[in-house]
Amino acid sequence: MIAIKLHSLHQETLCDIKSVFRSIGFVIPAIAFPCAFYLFFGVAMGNQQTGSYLLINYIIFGVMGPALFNFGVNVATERENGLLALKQLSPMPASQYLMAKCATALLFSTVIFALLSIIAVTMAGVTMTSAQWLMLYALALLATIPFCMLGLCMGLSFSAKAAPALVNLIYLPISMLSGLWLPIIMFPELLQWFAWLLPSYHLSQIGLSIIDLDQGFNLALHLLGVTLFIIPCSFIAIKKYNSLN
Amino acid sequence: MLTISNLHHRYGDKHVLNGINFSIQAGQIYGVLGTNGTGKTTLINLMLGRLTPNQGEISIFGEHPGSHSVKTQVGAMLQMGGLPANLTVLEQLKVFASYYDSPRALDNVLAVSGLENHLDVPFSKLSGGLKQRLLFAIAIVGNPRIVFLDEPSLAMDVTARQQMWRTIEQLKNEGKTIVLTTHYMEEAEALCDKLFILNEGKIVASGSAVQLGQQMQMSEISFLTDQSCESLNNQFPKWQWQVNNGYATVRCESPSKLLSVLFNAGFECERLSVKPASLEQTFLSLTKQELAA
Repeated sequence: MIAIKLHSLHQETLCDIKSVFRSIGFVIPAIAFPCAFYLFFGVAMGNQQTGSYLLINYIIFGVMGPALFNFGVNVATERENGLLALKQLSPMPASQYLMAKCATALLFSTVIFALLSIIAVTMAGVTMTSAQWLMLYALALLATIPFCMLGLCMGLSFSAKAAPALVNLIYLPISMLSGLWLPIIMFPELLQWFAWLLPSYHLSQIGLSIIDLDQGFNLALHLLGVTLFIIPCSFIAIKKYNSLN
Repeated sequence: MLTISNLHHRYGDKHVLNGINFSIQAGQIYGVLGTNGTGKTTLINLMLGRLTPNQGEISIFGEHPGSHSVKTQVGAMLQMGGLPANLTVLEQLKVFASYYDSPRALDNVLAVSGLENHLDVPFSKLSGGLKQRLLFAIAIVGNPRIVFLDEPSLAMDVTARQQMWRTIEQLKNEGKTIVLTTHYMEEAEALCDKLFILNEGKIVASGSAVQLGQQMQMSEISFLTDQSCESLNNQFPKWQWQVNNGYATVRCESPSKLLSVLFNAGFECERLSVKPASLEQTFLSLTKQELAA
């Protein structure tokens, strides 16, 4: 692989961040949506324990959106309007383009994590040790990756018009079926098993294990679940990217 | 510098390119002319390595198009080129310049492309002509040895188009090689040292605009007439007549022969003019298209 020049990666990342964060119509809903949900269900209707439980689930829910949309919708748009073609004609390695987009999604995750955490501490009375907060932040960053990959697969596969609808079609049901909105144990058994196919379920369980509210399955199984989701998505994305022409 | 041999390309069952052969030398402007759907953009995409030919070879600087080494020496302006709407001209140029080891100085790129006064304008706020100029600026920002321009002056007004021509000539004077496709005959005539006329997937003629005209040995005769097109075609069916605004126009290989026929038939041929066939007429003849009324 061709070595990535740091200056170029910096420029690429900076431009992607500027481009996304200047789209107010995208930034506000992406940030406000999980915060509003948490304020309603975690603060107004919850207590300290549900506040912690829902904080973790809404962090997962919050980071999914920007990752799916920045890759799914923006890549589809850039592919269709020719920007991706211009970039492919330059000597810039493809990995740089993807790393810049990942960096933007990670920045979004950081903002969402910070806002939800501030709300949780100040309004829901959530308390955690520094180590737990750090693990939760690491989880927010980790949770971004599988959805970046899924978004990338969609962005490289569908048109710019179809991608937003399809992302929504996946984003909301996945959130629901992973137990991010309602505890997974309230679901019929079949749906509980179906959740094992979803990375957001595994991420939620990893997060809940930080405060001992998970279902008690081996953590390694959840990490494996996330990995097994990332691998085929990455494979499909690489194949799609290489066959773009 | 660039060699194409026996190039074939098809989309499904449709053969778009059928045995293209040519080579280009450094420091010249080459034009690919053809009607819509004749494969001009496909040819550019093949030369850029965006498509893989079904048959044949393309070599740029002795390498396959699309290789990393070639990418560092090639710039391209494609027909599609939507840039991020909310990034400014300067931001877009900075990011593309960062992809290259030895890019052109940004001040120079801005001056050459005439964008000095639009540095802080987002792409979405640029006019059509300025958008084209920014795409052109991106094509040259890497300081390429060869620049591919697919319809560079599309959607530009006359002034902007002529500015673009001057810029392309300036690049040539710097020793760059330019390969462009265009619909505009006057653009091809004004800019290109050598033209390739593409028809039904084949190069049907090549050479400078003058050489192509000579190759065709066609002249255009025009004179004032009170007769209709139908009447002239009936009287002189050997030639294809057109009458516009009271002027009869006809293309022929031997003007003296036609004129003697006309004089013998009693035509006075007022305001007579005999000109060598223009590139447009040559093009239309070669691609078997009819002149628009």
